[in-house]
Amino acid sequence: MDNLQTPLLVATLLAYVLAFMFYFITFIYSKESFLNYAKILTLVAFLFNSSLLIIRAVLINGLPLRNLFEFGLFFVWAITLVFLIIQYKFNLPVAALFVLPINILLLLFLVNLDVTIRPAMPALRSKWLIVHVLSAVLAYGAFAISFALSIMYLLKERLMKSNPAGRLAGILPKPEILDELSYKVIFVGMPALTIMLVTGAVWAEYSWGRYWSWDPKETWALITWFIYSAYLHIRLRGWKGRKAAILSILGFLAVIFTFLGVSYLLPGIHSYA
Amino acid sequence: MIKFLSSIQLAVGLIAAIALASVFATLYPTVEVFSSFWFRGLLLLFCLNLLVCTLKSLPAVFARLKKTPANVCGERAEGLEISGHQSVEALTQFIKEKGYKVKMASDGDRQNVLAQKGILSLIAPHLLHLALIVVLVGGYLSSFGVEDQVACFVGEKAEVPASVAEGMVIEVNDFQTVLDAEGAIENWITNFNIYFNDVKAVESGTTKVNAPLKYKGISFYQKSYGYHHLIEVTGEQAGVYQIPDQKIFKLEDKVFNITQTIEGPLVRFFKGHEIVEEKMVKNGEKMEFSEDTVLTYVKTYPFTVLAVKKDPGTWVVMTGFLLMTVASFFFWTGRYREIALSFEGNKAYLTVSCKNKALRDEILAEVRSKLKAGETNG
Repeated sequence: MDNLQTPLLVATLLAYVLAFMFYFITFIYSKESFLNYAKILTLVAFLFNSSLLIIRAVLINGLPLRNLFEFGLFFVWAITLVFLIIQYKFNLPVAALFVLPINILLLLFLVNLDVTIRPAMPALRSKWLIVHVLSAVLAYGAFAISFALSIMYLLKERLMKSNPAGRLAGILPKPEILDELSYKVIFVGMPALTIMLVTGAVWAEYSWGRYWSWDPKETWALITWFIYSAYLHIRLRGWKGRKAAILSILGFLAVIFTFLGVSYLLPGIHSYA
Repeated sequence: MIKFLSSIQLAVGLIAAIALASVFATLYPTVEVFSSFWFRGLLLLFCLNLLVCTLKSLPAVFARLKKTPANVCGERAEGLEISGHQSVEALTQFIKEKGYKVKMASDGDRQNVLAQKGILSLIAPHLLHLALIVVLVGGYLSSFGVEDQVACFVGEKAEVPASVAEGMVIEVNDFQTVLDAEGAIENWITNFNIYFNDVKAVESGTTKVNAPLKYKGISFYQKSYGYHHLIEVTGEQAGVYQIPDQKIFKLEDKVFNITQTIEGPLVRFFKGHEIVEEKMVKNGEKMEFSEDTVLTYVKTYPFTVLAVKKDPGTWVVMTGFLLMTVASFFFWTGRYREIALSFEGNKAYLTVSCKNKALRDEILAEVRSKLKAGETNG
């Protein structure tokens, strides 16, 4: 089963690339008949992604949440899950044009990582890991979707001014819908991020004897939390639309930096993640 | 002043300042930011902002929670024709089925109904603010805490640093590296007794990674471990030596070290930096170096290093964390919405309160259509 990992990872990546291409043809070249194929391919990619996670879970005899590769796989899985919900609940398949590239880029990064299974260090053998990392996965998945919706918002706003009759302006939903949906998704992600921070701190107290160490990873997770807190507060003051979209984009950049930037540029006690 | 302290502008400004300071601190780790006076000042101001904002908005929240059905016949209410009593019951039943908490009150011939949903999400932001204050207060109390460490060989006693607990001594009974079914390290466990002023207070307590031992406000964490090796040598360098793990030792013309592995002690002989020979040894095993010089491996001396901590703020912070988690779940219970109805004769007056306009319109349409359906059925 170990040998299946790399082929499945590549198959997942290819399925996402194909799905993106079909969505692209559907919306940019107005080939409506391609939409169903695009949706099926996204589901296939999601199934490959899920299978890979299941294989990994069987191989390590637990939830695969212990290192950058495993978290990355779950991250892509959560982004797709939130996208599928958005696609069907709000009938927004066009969001795929902005969501799937995030998955493709993340998978391109993951295929370069070592997939070898290594035993987990004692500190990681904790029940807190499951709730800590799963809440991170949910939060980051939601923020990725909000990021895509915010990009769509800014693009739509720009196109409405420069080329309102253009094809792209026509396929993007109304800015108000994108703005409200982005807010809704952040509203789901933010409590998950709070739970991630809290459970991480409680776990650190049990494991390292310190609930907070100002380690780069936890500090950047807190910075992300502050950015989305600011987002939710400014909306109370009626700051919607453009300003909110920019803050949402900034928030997701902080997520990416917490996930990748900190791991490579600012080493700390989270060396395994 | 109160207005300024409770303002969202101040909250957003402080959030931005703390976030930027944190970014700076991670990029320039040599600059002391988090323990600086100005950073603590920002946190204090943030705490004040949260407190004033919460205290200011709590009365309105309590008023909402205690709100009773009232007459809503007025300009803001939408007036609808209904067919009488049957519609009132059908509608309240319909609202209840939608998950609303319904309160009813009569006012003469008028029947008033108040239906509320999402009360927990109404409480959530205020609970989260209070939780953050508790965490910050706990963090402040933690600054009065002390932490240190104590190293002790198995079978021996060691004093816990007086800064953490005066008169406390630990006696290590055992230290084990626990392996899982695949042979990987699962945990490190120290079994020890605690003496307080020479009286045994804890018999055979254990601490391991992710499961510290707590005694009277002092926590013991499994921090590190190591080994020394006891050897007996005959000949020119005769004597009993205690060698730290992996420390280079020279006997006659041979250079070696002893490394504790999962299988046991391993003796490695070197020529320069190269390993020329390796040999696993057991307790009592002899190794001949020359006719006179014989090395006997006596035994392994494991030691454990425990971090010890006394922190008066931990339980306060943990309480804050618990409240934060509860508040997070409250956020997920859906937006607060309120339906107020007054039935008077064959007319119903309806108002719907919800911050989300689309949701408000949806609820209005639902209630309106139900009232019309009731009219048809009646």
